[in-house]
Amino acid sequence: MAENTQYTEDNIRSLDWKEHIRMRPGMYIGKLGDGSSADDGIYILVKEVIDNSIDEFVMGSGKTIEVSIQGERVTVRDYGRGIPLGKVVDVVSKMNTGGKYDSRAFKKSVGLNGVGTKAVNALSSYFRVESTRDGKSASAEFSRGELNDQEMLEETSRRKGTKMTFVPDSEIFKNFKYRPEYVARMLKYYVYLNPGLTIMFNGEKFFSENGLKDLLSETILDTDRMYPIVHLVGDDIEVALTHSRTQYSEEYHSFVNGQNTTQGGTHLAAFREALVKTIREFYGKNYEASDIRKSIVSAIAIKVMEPVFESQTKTKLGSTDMGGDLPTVRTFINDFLKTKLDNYLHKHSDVAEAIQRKIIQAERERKDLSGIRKLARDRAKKSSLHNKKLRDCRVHLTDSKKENNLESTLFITEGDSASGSITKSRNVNTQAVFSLRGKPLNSYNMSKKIVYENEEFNLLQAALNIEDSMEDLRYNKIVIATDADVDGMHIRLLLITFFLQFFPELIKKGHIYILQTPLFRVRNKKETRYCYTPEERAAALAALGKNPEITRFKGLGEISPDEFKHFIGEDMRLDPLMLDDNMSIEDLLRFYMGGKNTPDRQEFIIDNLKVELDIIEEDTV
Amino acid sequence: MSEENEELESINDGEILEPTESITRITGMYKEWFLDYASYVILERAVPAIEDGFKPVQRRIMQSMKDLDDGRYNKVANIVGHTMQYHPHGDASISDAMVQIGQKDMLIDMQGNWGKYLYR
Repeated sequence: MAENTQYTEDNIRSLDWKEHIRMRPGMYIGKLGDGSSADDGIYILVKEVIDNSIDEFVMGSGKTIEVSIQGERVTVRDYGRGIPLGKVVDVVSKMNTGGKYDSRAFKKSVGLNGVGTKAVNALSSYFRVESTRDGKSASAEFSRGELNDQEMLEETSRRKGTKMTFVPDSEIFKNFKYRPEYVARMLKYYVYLNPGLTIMFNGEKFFSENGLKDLLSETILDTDRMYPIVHLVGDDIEVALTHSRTQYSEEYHSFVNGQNTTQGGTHLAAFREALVKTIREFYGKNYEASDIRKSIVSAIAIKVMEPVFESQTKTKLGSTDMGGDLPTVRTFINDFLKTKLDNYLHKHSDVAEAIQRKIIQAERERKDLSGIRKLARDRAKKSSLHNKKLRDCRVHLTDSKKENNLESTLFITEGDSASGSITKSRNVNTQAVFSLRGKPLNSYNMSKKIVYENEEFNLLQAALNIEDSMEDLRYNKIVIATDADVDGMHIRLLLITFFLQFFPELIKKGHIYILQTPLFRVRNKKETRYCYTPEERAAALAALGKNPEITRFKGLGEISPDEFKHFIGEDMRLDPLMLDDNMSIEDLLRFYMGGKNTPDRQEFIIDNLKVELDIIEEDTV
Repeated sequence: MSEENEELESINDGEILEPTESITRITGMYKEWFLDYASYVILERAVPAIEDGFKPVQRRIMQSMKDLDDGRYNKVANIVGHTMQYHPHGDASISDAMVQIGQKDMLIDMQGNWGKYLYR
């Protein structure tokens, strides 16, 4: 069986730094992707470059950073001290080179391995760095890590600082496209975590005065807050929290050294624990932990020396110690909340009252639910052994040891035929399928009870494993795969209503996507093309010449499994779902999904009715 | 602060602003999907047309009965099957619709059990 492969000195290779980065980009920037989700590689490239500018800001120079993304071209300009001119080439092209090994201040930064910009350099088809200081400037240009051009200017009127420009390599990032919304969100996090910093992005200005407080005021409308945001700041720690009136789930934003830890980790666990403990002690009552945390919206940022993360992409903190002579992360957060939050509650009795009211209300609701919950849980227990609507995959988001855990995807399909095709053509390791039967219930204005009563919702909740908290979410991407017809649209509306109503965090954190499937297949004997829009179809018709066969896919069930592989494989087209700034979910749902056909809505439909007139082909008449 | 902003403009100098594709936000999606569905239901599913009083499915049934008409009784299943050529939905919805027309006892010459017209 074993083939006789040669294993000699020739087989052992030492890779050049850039070769290594290009061969194993995952080790440096997480996953590749085409830019449709916020953790795709092309955003990490931007982040790596900005991180350096942020470090300059932290060191006290350069209050403004300019970022511009024009198509594929990214430019980042800061007004920091600039890279020492003689080392401009080295810092971006020699592995393990950096200025952050010795200084104590840099101990609390995320990138300290001297790898970031080199990875960007190696993964860019064009890379240019330019540094200006003391009236002199130096620049260098690279292509895929190869030095092309180098220039020294003895005299310049430019202000000090560094400017980096790069174009991600399309050989590595296939068909990538920057979505400005994701960049904007990333930049917003930067300004929240660095009050006083201004970031200009394509002419838009980001600035925050109050740090995490601003972050929360953006995520939760003030009409939805139970009480004004509590904002506590200490050395190496910042916390902001409030309770929501309408949201059921707990919402946390956590950061370590400016890195957004989307999967939480030790600091978040400690925060949740400390919060419960502090509140219990303050009221002197032994409230249930889930009642205290219900509907909470909060953010925490800490600074840890030399943090350890559980995964390559730094989304989950693993450190137990703060570093230096500080105590453990857990004690540190606990002590902080215990003094600061306790003091705050003593000073602001109205807030304390509001929290207590919320807890008691949550307790009452929980008791209402408890009977049905038990029933549902028994059913879910059975279904976790055999969730009949779910065809599971092997790797889940929670398997942080496995490297492709971020690729875990759940397809929610409409009808058995579509789920059959997907089940057959999927990647069994990372892609799971949940099949809906018919239209889901309109869950607008229903209480959480319905999630337990309705079998479909209950199984979906069990499949996602989000009953207690978002932390155990089993899939990184939840893809709604309905037919591209009107009933498919309706199902999307109903499903998203369900998520908005009960699990808005899934959408806020960018886990939910819509699958785009082709509407037409145009082929002749040699070539097959799939077209997603009528325009593409026209183009394909022109290109394929006479008499191609045109098939219209009315539903996903009409696409055969072998073809489906193309649509959910590497070139999968996903539309991310994103909330609007400052929108009220409640208003949106009331308008579109409310039970009564209000005069407003009737007006709206009448004014916007989409009439599709048949186009009569003249030559046949 | 003002000196910090000196060079803000220069970064985009000489470059043409390409429109970068942006994400349709959720309100946009809701609007589009809702209108797609609502318009379809109003125009193509639930509301009878003013010209002939038929809903689309009923009109399609009448058309295919005309197609199949040979002076003898036709099987319901055959008519339903033929109607599917015009009506891109399930057979159940067609046969339900047909039973409803039949029960009015005006347009279809029926044989066999067509059920009871409940709200007479």
